[in-house]
Amino acid sequence: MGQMISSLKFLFIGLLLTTSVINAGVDLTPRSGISLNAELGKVSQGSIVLKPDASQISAVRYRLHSLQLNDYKINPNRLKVKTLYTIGAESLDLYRTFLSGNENANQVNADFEFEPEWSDAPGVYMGSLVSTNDVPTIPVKITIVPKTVVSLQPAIFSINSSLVNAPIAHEVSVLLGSNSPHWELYLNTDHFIQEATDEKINADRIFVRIKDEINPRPWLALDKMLKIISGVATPITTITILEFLVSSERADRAGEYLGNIKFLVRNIN
Amino acid sequence: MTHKIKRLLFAVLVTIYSVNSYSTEAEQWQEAASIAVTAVVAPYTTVKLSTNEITFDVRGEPGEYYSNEEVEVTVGSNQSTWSVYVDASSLSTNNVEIAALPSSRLAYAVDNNKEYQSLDKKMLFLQGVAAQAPRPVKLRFRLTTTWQDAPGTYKGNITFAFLNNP
Amino acid sequence: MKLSLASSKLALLLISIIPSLVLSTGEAKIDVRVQADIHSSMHMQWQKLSERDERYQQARVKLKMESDWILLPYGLYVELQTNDVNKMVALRIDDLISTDKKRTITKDQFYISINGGELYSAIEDLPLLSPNDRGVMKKQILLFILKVKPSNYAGSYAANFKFITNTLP
Repeated sequence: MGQMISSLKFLFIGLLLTTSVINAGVDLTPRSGISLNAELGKVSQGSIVLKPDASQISAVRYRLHSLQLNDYKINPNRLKVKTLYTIGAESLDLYRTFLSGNENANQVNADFEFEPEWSDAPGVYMGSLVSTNDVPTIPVKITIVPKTVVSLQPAIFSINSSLVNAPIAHEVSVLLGSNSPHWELYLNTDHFIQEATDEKINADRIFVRIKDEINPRPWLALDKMLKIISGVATPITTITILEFLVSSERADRAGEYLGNIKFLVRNIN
Repeated sequence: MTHKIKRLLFAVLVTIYSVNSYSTEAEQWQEAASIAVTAVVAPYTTVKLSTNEITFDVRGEPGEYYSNEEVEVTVGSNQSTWSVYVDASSLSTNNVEIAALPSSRLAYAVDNNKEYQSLDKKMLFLQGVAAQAPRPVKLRFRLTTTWQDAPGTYKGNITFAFLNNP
Repeated sequence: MKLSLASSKLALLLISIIPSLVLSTGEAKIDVRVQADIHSSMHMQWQKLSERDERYQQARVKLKMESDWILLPYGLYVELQTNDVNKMVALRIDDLISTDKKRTITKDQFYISINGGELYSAIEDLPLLSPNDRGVMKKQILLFILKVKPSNYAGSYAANFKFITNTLP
């Protein structure tokens, strides 16, 4: 009977201890967890504040359990955290110490870093940080914004007008980077105008084609929005070399005509 | 009533879907870059002469003789204004003892104009603007000889000069 | 009577060696070659003058001759012009022959006065146009004087007048 009572006391104490552990809490601010807006070319940063209650005397470690959009998963080592107990920003593919247990109810910051890659499709990635302790998981939400970068070399040029069957063409290299799963590049222009006289070269006399020395392609007029090329997500690379031609007519007054050729991108997610 | 409500609800849903689709597509378009282009139309002038030779067949005493052929001059240019001048040199022989025929002996007339203009100095005979389609102009030449002109072969030039004002 | 020599031919050859040209900027020129072939040309015109003709009278007034010489009642008006320095024109007169062909007055008795000036014997050709006269219009009135000899028979006589044109080598 006495042994039974001792056992029961031990059990009760164990239960109390267990309850203490169960009841020991960590408040998160914000309660929604980690939310980052990530843009290509930049390191996005965010923070949460962990406030342990006084009974939290054990260390709390977290790692990234998952981070995905539909079937696409981001490697956990790409999300990093910096706490008082990490050496700089450390990847969350491993458990990292957020709380040491010695905070005495003082709050601690955890700073997160994430840099998207071109292969990460735009969208909202959801995941969570899980702990070995009986503490709440921390929701992770990373929104990767769509981005397409286009760079032209050269960005400005002068071209002599010529005949389509004896063209004087000017080359422009198009560099493009995009995280869109599918993108389309369009060209558009308006009339070219001679400022002094208001004379015009209509857009239907401005032509473009993709450079192909082996199999020259037909010239395409820029009198309407023209789809020139399409592709999938890619880091910044030269996607094509374009040739431009301005068709001449005898009635054209001599001189310079100024215009702008616009490059538009359509991202299809 | 229920059927009508359903139809109305369906129509509203379709409308929202369509609007959202359009908005979504419009937002996916972005002007990523533009390139400033200067198209240069090179100035040009083309001149055509219908013939490289005209002849004067003069029989009899000195006087005024007219070319048998007409020279047709066609000028095309894309410059704002252009002018064509005609000028003649004196006609001289290899014999230094024979005096040259001064350029004032040559004269020209344009198209059906009966009046001849002397070529004693540079003369403007044609003007145009860029928007003008090329139009051939006919030139007739006249040479006046005198008893003072010794027999011989005289040579010289008639010069067409083009001045463009882009 | 008017006589016009049309032995000249004037050919003017206008050659354009460049029938077309494309110019790019500024002022540019095309030269068209001109070639003129001028040939020798001469004008000659003569007219018989009666003694009532004013021109005859103008020359007659200036004429000085012996009183017993006979001035024929007709003269000759001659116009000569040439562009050729090598051209010369002279007047040649034959012996006078009576109309019945029986009598002759030799030309050594015949004299010619130009515009009432000095007398030239008709033995030799009378120069009317010389190289120095190139380009000049020479208008001359010829009066004819006969130095009659006692042996000359009265009657009507005729003579041939010829204009001789020579070209210097």
